[in-house]
Amino acid sequence: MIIECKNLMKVYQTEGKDFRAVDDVSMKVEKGEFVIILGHSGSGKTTLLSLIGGLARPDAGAVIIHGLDQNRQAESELAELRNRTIGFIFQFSSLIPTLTALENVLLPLTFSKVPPSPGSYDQACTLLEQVGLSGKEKSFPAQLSGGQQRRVAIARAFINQPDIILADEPTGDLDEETEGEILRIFREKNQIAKTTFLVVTHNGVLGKTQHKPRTFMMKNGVLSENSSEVASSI
Amino acid sequence: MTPILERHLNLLDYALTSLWRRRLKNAGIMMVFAAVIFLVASFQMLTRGLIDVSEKILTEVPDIVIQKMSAGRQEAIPLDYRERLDDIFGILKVVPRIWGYYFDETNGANYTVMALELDAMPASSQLGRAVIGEVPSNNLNGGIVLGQTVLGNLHLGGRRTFSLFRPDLSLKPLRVVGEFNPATEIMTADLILMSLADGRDLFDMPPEVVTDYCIYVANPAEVGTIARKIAARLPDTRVLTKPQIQKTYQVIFGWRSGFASICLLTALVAFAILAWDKASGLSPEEKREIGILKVIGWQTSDILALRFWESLVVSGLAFLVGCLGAYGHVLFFSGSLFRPILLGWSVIHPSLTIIPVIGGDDLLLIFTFTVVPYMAATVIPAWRSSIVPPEAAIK
Ligand SMILES: Nc1ncnc2c1ncn2[C@@H]1O[C@H](COP(=O)(O)OP(=O)(O)O)[C@@H](O)[C@H]1O
Ligand SMILES: [Mg+2]
Repeated sequence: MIIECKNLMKVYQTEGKDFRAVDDVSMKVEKGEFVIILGHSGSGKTTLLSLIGGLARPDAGAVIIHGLDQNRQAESELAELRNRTIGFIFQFSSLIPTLTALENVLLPLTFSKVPPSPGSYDQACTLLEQVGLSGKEKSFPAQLSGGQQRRVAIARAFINQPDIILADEPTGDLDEETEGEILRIFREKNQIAKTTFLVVTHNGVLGKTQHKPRTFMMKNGVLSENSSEVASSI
Repeated sequence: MTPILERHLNLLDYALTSLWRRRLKNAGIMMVFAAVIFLVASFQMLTRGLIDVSEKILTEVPDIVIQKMSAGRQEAIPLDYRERLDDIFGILKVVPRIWGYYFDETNGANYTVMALELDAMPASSQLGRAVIGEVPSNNLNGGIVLGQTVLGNLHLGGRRTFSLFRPDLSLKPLRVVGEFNPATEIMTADLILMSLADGRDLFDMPPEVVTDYCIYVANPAEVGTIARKIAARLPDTRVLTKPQIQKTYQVIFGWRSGFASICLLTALVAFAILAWDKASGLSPEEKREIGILKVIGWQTSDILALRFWESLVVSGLAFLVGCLGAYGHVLFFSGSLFRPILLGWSVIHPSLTIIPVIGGDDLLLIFTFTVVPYMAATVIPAWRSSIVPPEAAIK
C-alpha cells in the first residue's frame, strides 16, 4: 500500500465556527493505482490533497505514505517527501515568474539532495515536449497562456520521477485536445512507470476516458467510493 | 564540489535571478542603504582621520607650559623665572617661547607666530620631523618655517624672502628655510615658526620677558609632581600639563563628534525601521512564491538561505558602494558634508586635508549597525512565512 488515510480531519475556523473541510476521510491506495476524486467546488478536494501531500497537518487522523506516518515526520522529512516522492500539480498557476519554463521544470531537481545529472536537462526538455511545449523552453510564465502554464507545471511535477502524482484539477483550463494529450501522458506514466495518480476533478471527462478508474466522490468533506459506472455517468 | 557548496551556489544563482527581476525596487533599496552607509562611514573616517592627525600633533605639546598670570590674565613671563626652576629634579629642558598672532591685512588672514629657542628643544621633540627643509637656527637671521596655508596665502612664487610689519610698521625681512609637512596641517597650517630672537624682534618684546615657557621632563609619569612643584615655586603662574591640554582637545572634539554620532544614529535607526517595515510586509506574491518552493520540496532552511543571499548581495553591495564613496568623499572632497560640524571650532584649521583613516574595527562597527539589522529585517519575515504550512499556496 502506498497511501493510507486514516480518519482524516481538517477543521477551519470561519466566523468563529468550526468548519470541517475534510471530515473523517479514510482510504487506501495501492501502488500504480489511478484514482479519481470527483466533487463540487468547495467540497474539500484540495484540502484533502494538501493533507495527503504533507502540505498541511491534519487536525485528527493520519496520512501514511510508504508505511511512514506523516504525523511522526519532521518538517524536513516532509519537505524531502514532497521533493522526491510526490509530484504536485496545483489547481492554480504555480510557476515562479522569474524563471523560464525550462528553469521552472528543473526547479525541484536543482535543490534536491541528489545533485542534478547532466541528463536532467534533456529530461526536462523531453517532458516539455511531451506536454506540447517544445520551443517554449525559454519563455517566461507571463509569455505563456494559462493552459501552457498549467502544462509547464505538469512537466515540473514529473521531473523527479515521483511515485505519486497529486493533481488538483489538472485539466481545468485546457481545451479538449490538450486535455486528451495530458491524460494520455498520465496514463502512460501510470502504466509504464507504475506511478500512482490521485487526480481531482469536477468534470467527468477524466472518468470517461479512463478504463474503469477507481473513483471517489467528495461531498461536504466526506469521501465515499463510487463504482466506475456511477462515475462515468456524471 | 561538495553538495553543500553546490546547494549554496544554486541558491545564490536563484537569488541573483530573483533580485534581477525586481531590479528597480532592489536598486532603490540599495541606493538608500548605500547613502546611509556613506554618511556613517564618511563621518567615521573623518573623525578617525582627525583624531589621528590631532593625536600626532598633540604628542608635540610640551609636557608642561608655564604662563604668568596677573589679575587673572596671562602676561609676559620674565626670563629670570627660568633660574628658579633649575634645581627641580626631573626637568629635562626649559624652553622659553614667544608666540602671538599676526594679522595679514592683504589676505585678511591671521597667522600664529611661534618663536622658540630651537636649539634648546629636547632631542625627543618631533618638531624636526614635521619640517620639510631646515629648522631655523637660534640667531637673529630671519629664517622661518611656514605652514601650508600661510605659504599659499603669501603667493611667494619662486621667492624665498618677504617681509612682515613690526608694531611700529617698519619691515622685518624674513627668509623661508622650510615648510611644515602637509600631514601635520591640522596644527601647522597657519603657523610661522622662527627663532626666539626673530620673534622678539618681530613683536618688539622687551629682552627680559617671553610669552611662556615650555618644559620637557625626563619621565612622563612625573609630569604631575613636577607641575605641582613648579606651581609652589612660582605662585604667580598657571601651570598646564600635557594631559590637561590633550584632555581639553579631546573633550571639544569628543563632544562634537558625539553630537554628530547621535544625529547619524537617529538616521540609522530610522532606516532600520523603514527596512523592517518594508521587509516584514512580504507581498502576497512573495509569500506565494515561498509556498510554491515549499510545495516542491524546499525546506525552511533553503528559503532562509535564499533570503540570506539576497539580502547579503543587496546590503553587501550597498556597504561596498557606501564605504568607497565615503573614502572618496573624505579624501577628495575633504568630507565637506561634515566639516562644518567637526571643524567649526577654531582650534582646528578649516582648510585642512584629511587622509581618511579606516580600520577593520570601524568597518566591523558600520557593518554591524547597517548590514546586520538589514539582513535580520529581511530574513526574519521570510522565516516567519516559511514556517507556516505551504497549503495556502495551492488554493
Ligand atoms: N484556509 C482556509 N480557511 C478557512 N476555510 C477554508 C480554508 N481553506 C479552505 N476552506 C474552506 O474549506 C472548504 C473546502 O475547500 P477546498 O478544499 O479548497 O475545496 P475544493 O478544492 O473542493 O473546491 C471550502 O468551503 C473552503 O471555503
Ligand atoms: Mg480546489
